[in-house]
Amino acid sequence: MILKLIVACVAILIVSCLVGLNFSKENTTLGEAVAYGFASILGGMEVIALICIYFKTTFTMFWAVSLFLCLLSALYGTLRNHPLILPMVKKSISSHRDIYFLGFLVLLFGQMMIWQIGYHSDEDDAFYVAAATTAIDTNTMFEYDAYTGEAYEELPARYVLSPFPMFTAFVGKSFGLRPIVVAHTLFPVIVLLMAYISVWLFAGVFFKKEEERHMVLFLASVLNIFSYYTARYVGARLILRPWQGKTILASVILPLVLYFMLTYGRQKVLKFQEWLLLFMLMLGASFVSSMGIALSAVMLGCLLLTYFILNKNVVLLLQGVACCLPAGALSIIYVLIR
Amino acid sequence: MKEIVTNIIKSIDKYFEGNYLPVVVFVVSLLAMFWLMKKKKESKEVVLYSIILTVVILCPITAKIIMFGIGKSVYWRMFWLYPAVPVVAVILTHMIQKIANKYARFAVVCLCCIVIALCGNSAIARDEFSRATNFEKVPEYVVAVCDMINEDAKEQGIENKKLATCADFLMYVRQYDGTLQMENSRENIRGYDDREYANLVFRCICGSEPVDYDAFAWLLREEKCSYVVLNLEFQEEMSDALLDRGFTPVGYYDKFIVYRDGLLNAKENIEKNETVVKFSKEKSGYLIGQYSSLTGDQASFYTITDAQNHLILIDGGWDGDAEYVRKVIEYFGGKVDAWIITHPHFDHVRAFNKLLASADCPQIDAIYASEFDYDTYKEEAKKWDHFEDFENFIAVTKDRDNLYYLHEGDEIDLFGLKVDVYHDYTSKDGGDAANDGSLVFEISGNEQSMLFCADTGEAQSETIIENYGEKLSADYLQLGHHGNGGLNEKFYRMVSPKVAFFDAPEWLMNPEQGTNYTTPENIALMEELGAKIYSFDSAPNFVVLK
Repeated sequence: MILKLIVACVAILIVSCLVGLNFSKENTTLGEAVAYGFASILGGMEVIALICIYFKTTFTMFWAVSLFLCLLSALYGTLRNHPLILPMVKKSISSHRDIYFLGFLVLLFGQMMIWQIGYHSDEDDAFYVAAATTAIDTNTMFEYDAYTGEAYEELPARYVLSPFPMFTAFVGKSFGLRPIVVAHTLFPVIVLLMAYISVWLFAGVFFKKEEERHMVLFLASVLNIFSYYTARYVGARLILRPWQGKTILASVILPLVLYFMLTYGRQKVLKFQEWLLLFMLMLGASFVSSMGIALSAVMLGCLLLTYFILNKNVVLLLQGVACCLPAGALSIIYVLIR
Repeated sequence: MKEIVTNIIKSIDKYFEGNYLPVVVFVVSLLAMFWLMKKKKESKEVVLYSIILTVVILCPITAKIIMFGIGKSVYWRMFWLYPAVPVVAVILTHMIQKIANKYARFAVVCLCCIVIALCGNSAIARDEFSRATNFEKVPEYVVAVCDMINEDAKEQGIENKKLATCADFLMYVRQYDGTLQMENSRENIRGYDDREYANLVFRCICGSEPVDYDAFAWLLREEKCSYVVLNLEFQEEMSDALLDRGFTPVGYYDKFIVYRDGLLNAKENIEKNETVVKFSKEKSGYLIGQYSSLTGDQASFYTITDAQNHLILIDGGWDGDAEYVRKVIEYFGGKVDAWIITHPHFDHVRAFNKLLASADCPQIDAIYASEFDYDTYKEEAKKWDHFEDFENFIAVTKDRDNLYYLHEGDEIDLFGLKVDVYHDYTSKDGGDAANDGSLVFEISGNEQSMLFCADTGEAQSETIIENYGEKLSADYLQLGHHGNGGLNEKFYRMVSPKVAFFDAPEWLMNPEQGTNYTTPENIALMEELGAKIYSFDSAPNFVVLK
């Protein structure tokens, strides 16, 4: 079991990185590639999952198509940008040699270990993790009530547009793990890593020196650990419920959207590759949580307004609005089917 | 408009719960970012974004639109859009980096961590985490009980694994195993389940409603709950009640007990038996069936049926077996032509008593019993004889004109079967009050016979041998007292059966070391005699008497 978990963790990171190569340029860091790749995988799965749910295919069909497209995307990214891989990796390995990074690693390791030796129950799992388990055990997608196992009389509108449990089930089936193990043991490691990559990227916008970025990572880690004012705080959620879609939304995808705009927001126009990345981030936000459909649109809307006020760039505004179309479409579908 | 503003304020209260220190810190950090890092365009962008976001959150018009999309109760999630932690970390880093000396910087970082720790709260320190005992990160009892149910369902051939459980399991079962259906779920706790019966089951099982256990058992069956899991710490009475109503214990883990509906597959288990299938095709001789007890305890219940669908029952078991007996009667045509009660002990007569006392008692044409003298038995009965079972037997049969007593030496014909009685209460010679007053009788077809010894003990062995020794040989034998004790070796050697029936569950067939059960010795004897052994482990068991 431990070996399977390690293999799954490493594989997810590698595939995420290779998929992220599709959006990489010369100065793209390893962290960017991994984070963007991960979010893009989630975004792609939103489309595949919705189609499969609409046509009531088996879960195996969804899994097979998703796996194929994921690996195809990884292969394409590798073939297209393989010269970037080695420099990316070398730069990433060579640059972390100060006490703050070491301190951050200790804290990160501690947070990950808490989830290996301990657990925190959350009532939402009674649906979301159960939905993933149901998908594997019945080979269906949202055809049976996760709570009781009875067949649904109609599509559960509230959940079906953000089928994140299908990703949990996908990972489980891909590596021979039960979804509950994926959720409670594997995802805390992956999500914590992705969350701090997002922080690292944000720090990189303001600081060029490695020591400064490491200090941001370390302080962010301490702030998250001690942010349990209520369980609703983002930092507290990251510690308490890292496997949940809402946590991935709040700690990974939304920060990536912010980082994206901080990186590309001053451009006159987004290239297709950049626009596609933003589009995938928005799809990814919709995939992980129904909150993501609205929150990602609100966040992007506020960011677009910010850059419009600062730069008066209508093209970028329109390009950004186009990325909000999935959220708009999903909102309309939700109103129609609920 | 007023409602929207109220909802906004409620959301702020809900998110911060009165502690606005993080807000203050974030606002100060933003201001510091704007002032101290103004050369960086990104700083202005982050600050402006935060301002625009704040306007969007607080403006009633935008708030109304967003609340329509995400719901009023979770509007507080808008605060997730602020990059609070990264901004605070960035501004702290910016200020600390102004310190030239690296050791001083390190000291200030440590100081910041101490201040953050003192001003904040840690989920880890607030007992939010429990020690995990498995990779699934669920309580161990969930894993144990779910695995127990799966194993039992596989053994029993049960496809519909539907559970009614106490609250301890509601959150976890379907996370662990999607093949287990649940009668109740978190939706019942939250009041979102609109299924009437499911809510009733939930209220009964969680103790929020007084329970009529007969109705509860009916409800469980109506809802097709094949398994019930109870917490014995506060559901012991319910556990006993289910045991009395045909639910059979599957196993225990920690304080939890798992029951299976013993009536599940009752008919299917008979139908699919090879001997039954063969008998239904050949329609020759008499089909004799031995059945286990749903209580998991020793008991005695047999059926004898023929090609003309006559049905003879022998004993019935505990009161918890009554509904099972009813199912078996239904399977064999719904009418009992003759019911033989060997003696009035709890594990033989209570199912009979319960059925006869019920409003929908099946039709019974004749009842045969050992004639226990009321006063004599009352005088010699011990506490473990539960005299009240005999009194109940008297009560349920007193108004019937079809009760016949069998005595030693009697010979009757039941639908072509010759019944010879070798022993009864009136021919008892000392020994145990009720057990040694059991009917011992042999049923004979054209070619074969079966000897029933009920609970007769060793004390009666010599008397029966002396009087009926030459007749004792039989093809099939029901051992005395469930195979534990019973008649002596000489007696059993004279019977020398081809098939030996032990009315005993696994714990009696293979008793733990240190117990005084003699079942293993009788098993060894039967094996030495070359008899095939049947017990509750493989029940229902069938043979054809030619």
